[in-house]
Amino acid sequence: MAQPPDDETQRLLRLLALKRHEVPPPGFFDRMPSRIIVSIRAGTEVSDRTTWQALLSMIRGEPMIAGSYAALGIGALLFGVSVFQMAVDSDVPALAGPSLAPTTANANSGLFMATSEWEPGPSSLALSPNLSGGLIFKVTPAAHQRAIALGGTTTGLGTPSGSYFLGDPVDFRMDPPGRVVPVGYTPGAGR
Amino acid sequence: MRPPAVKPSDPPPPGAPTAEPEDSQLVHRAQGGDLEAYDLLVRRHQERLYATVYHMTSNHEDAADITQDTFIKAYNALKGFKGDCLFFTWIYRIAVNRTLNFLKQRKNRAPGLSLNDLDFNAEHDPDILALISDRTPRRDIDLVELQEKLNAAMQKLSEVHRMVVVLHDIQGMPHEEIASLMDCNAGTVRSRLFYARQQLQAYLSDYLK
Repeated sequence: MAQPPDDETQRLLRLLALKRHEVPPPGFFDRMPSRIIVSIRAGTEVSDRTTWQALLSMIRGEPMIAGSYAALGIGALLFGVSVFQMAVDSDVPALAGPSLAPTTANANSGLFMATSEWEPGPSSLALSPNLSGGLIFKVTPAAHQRAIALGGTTTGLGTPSGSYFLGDPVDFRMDPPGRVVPVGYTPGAGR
Repeated sequence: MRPPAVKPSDPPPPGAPTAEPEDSQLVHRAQGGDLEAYDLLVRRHQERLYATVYHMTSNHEDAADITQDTFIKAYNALKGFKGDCLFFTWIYRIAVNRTLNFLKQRKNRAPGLSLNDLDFNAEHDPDILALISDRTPRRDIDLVELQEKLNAAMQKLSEVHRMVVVLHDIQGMPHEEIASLMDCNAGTVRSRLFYARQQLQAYLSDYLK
């Protein structure tokens, strides 16, 4: 059973009764429902549109934002193309490591490590500056003979693309941390 | 003294003419996308919902925004309303939670009061008249000043204590219903109410002697 409030509480409750006489501006409750319904309708119309329609609407309304998105898109496209190009360049398949020098092959990348063992000597390996700043290794028939002596096979130079032949010069670039990347090949030039 | 505990969704007594559709019927229609039905629901409950938010914020603009936002969010969530409770209880709970969240965010800045005017009946309310009778030492004070002091004191209470005062002492809601709205038990509501009243009496001691 609730205790009846004491005098001071009674007076507080009387004072709080004043709050019930606070009323919003005239007409407020007449306007609010229509504002709510209009907002709901607007929200419904937006949700009924497809994503593309919403995007198109945003582009039309905010040309600056649309321009920024376009610049971002073009940048992303160019970046993607350059990454793809790099991937293609580094994916020249012919010089599979085991056929040339199994002991020096990089098992992860399939590229050769530039080591003294791989280099048969100055007469068979020409060094020249590369445009990209690396070194160009030219594989000569003597280099291939050396590779065979190390346990490689001559067919390794021709596979898997079949475009590398014994005796044909193949240009390599030595990338910085010592990876040898093939960059050029002239079929038949060594025969 | 205690305001009548009005439940807007109470069914009419047996035999009474039912000219207006019940909330459940309107809700069912609104769930099907009938905005006219929802408009009726808004008109039916907006005053009480607004009043609660207003008494919590002591700011008309904030209360208008929160009330409007509550009805819009409720409409968007209406398909998930299963009818486990009255529509009014359901939307009231949304309003209470949104108000408490708003007040938490507002904590970092000083609450700007934007008080509504007092209606004409305030001067004739027997409770008010009794308060400013000759027993009151501050009988020279006008109602507007009293209103400002009262709202300032209310804003000094914590959100949960203010909420129980608003729901019980101003809106006339029973303890159990408040407990259901605030996810606590009725005992907690009573103890919060007791503490909040003590706080208010301390803040307003000059006007309660």
